[in-house]
Amino acid sequence: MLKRATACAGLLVTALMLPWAAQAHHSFAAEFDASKVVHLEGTVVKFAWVNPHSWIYINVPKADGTTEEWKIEGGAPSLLLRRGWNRNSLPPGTKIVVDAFPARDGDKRASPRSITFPDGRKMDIGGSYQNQEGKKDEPAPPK
Amino acid sequence: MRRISGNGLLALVLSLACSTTAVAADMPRVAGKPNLNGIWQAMNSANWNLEAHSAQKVPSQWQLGALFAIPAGQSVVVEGKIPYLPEALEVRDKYREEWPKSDPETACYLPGIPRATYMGHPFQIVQGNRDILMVYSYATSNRTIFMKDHQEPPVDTWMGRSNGRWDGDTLVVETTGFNARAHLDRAGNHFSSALKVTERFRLENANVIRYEATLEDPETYSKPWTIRMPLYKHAEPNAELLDYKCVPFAEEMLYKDLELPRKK
Amino acid sequence: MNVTFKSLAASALAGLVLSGVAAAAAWKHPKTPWGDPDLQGTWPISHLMATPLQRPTQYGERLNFTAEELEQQKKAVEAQNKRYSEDLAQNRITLGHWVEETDLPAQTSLIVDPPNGQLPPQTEAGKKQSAAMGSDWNRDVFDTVADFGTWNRCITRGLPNGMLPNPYNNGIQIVQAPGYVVINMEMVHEARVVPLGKRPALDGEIKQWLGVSRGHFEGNTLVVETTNFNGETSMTDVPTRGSPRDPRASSTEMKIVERFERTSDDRITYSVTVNDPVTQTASWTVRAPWKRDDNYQFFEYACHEDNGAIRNFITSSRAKRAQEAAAAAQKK
Repeated sequence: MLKRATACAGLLVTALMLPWAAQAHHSFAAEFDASKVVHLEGTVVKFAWVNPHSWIYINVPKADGTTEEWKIEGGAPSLLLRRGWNRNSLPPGTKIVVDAFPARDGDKRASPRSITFPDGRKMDIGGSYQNQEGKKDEPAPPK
Repeated sequence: MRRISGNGLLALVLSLACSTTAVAADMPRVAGKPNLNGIWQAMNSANWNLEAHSAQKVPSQWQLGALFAIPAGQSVVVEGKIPYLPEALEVRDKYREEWPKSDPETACYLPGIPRATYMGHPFQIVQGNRDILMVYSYATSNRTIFMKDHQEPPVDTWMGRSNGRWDGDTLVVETTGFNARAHLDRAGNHFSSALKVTERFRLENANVIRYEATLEDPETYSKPWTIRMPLYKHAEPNAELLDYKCVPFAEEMLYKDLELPRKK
Repeated sequence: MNVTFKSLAASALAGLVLSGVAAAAAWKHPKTPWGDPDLQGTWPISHLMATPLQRPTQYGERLNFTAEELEQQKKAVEAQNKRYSEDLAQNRITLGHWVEETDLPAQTSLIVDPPNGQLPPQTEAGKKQSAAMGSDWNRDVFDTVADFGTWNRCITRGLPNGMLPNPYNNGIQIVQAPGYVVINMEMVHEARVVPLGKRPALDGEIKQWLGVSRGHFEGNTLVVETTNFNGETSMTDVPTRGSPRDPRASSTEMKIVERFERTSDDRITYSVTVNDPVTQTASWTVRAPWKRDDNYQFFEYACHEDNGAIRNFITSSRAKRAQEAAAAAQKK
């Protein structure tokens, strides 16, 4: 199979099984530096449900006791919405650990390689999703 | 488009003369409902200011002289003035002072509801036997009026989610789920994401829709209020909705600080 | 031959029975209440994401896969589709959250003509124009909006690109009214209004990003012809699998002809033929099956309103160049 999107390093290529870009609206490499990884541990401030990219704003405590706010770039929110996510799904205060490629311009903005939740997934993410055996219905999220 | 027959015309004239709620005897219909299909446009200066206003200069655009000044307009607000809560009124004044930068229309952002209706650009109602589509020329915005699948939106958006139903021959549309980043006009009038808009579209005759929208938003207004205006159908033969894709018109303004080279 | 009354009656009866059976089995094309063939519904094309636009050369002129070839593809597609549930199971967010599930590729390529499944060569004018077009897939120096494609700028995906599969927001909806068909594209909230019947073309001075469309029915098949393009969009874009890296220029002479043939309750065969004598040496045609999914919801794709890409790419590009210049200066 032809690898077309070779410009898209890091997150997209290493994680991809099928060789086309998921970040379709624009390419990755121009904005983020795939040779660096920042490790951020903090709490969710808000989840911005915007296009073309959603953003997770997180507060990261620094060694000197202050905090700094980072913007973590997500994909198009429609995929999450289609899987049953809603405005309550990633609540402020959720503990979050992010490994991400930082923006080249030095802004506190990054494209994540992975995001994990040390306290477990407290978010409500009802709706159905596809697995190998077929569709499996999850309970709908509470309003 | 069905022609109104002679009898129908008489009935229409009588019904208009006698009552504002009378239904035209020969109302054009599609799939059994009043036929709202067509290219429509408001003819007023509501997009400048929903409330009453004099003709006036726009100081920041003095280079454009009389090309770009505000025409006079009566209030389209039934109550006359918008019943703001005190803090919300201060916000309106701040937006007004910082216009045009404060206005999302300047950047070609989505207009929200009800502003899309009276933008000063035409829009097309596409009504068949299923959900109704409203296609706005401005910024190629559009919205679906969901006639059966009434849902609460999972997240807030610029255009909200519109659930529609027929109340006799009036189309009633309730829209919620606004991210509240759109404004109501160029005069700083605004709302919060608590806003619920209830619109009523009533076909008065084949060429006029009586339109009204009630806005309820307890975080911004002390009570609900209503705007009212006729919408007029484009009557030219082969009327056609043309795009007003304004993103390219706004880019120079948006990225001025990056000192982009001027395109020749 | 002696035809008795009895044999006539028997064959007539047989004929009636047969036609009755045939009528019960034949699918009847629904019509709208005003009598147009009914194509309405939601026809998202996420299921076509694994079908490349251009055919990998190993398949030659063959449009359909063999059973073995499909079996090989299955693993990759299933792995893709499992990613989201794997993420959930492992309590994390990775790419699995941001990719759509899809089907096995429908055919070896979306392009069915030319017979080799490849985009036909461009003319010299087409190549020249393509080289001058903005795109963020083929460069890493950005200073102006002209360095970006129309989709990066959140203006439009253009045509036929907007009707080709994409990693997300693949919603296509058809809405009909008397005298109109509307093709509603989820990304970038573009509703293509197609007037039906004999309506004059618009003056060529009117050029639009998505052109101007005219539709008519041939039998039950909707045919849409679109002209009056502004010549500023790329015909294809990288995120559609099997597309060229570079923009593919279109001119104001581009004409696209689409056919929508509904073949059952849940299937439409969609085809688009792209003609552009200025930029390419021959036309090309995509033909692919659409599947109905009326449960698919459109989500507002407000692209321009939060489009950080233009600004971020420019500032990042300038920062990178400044860093490189500083490093070079230090070496001296």
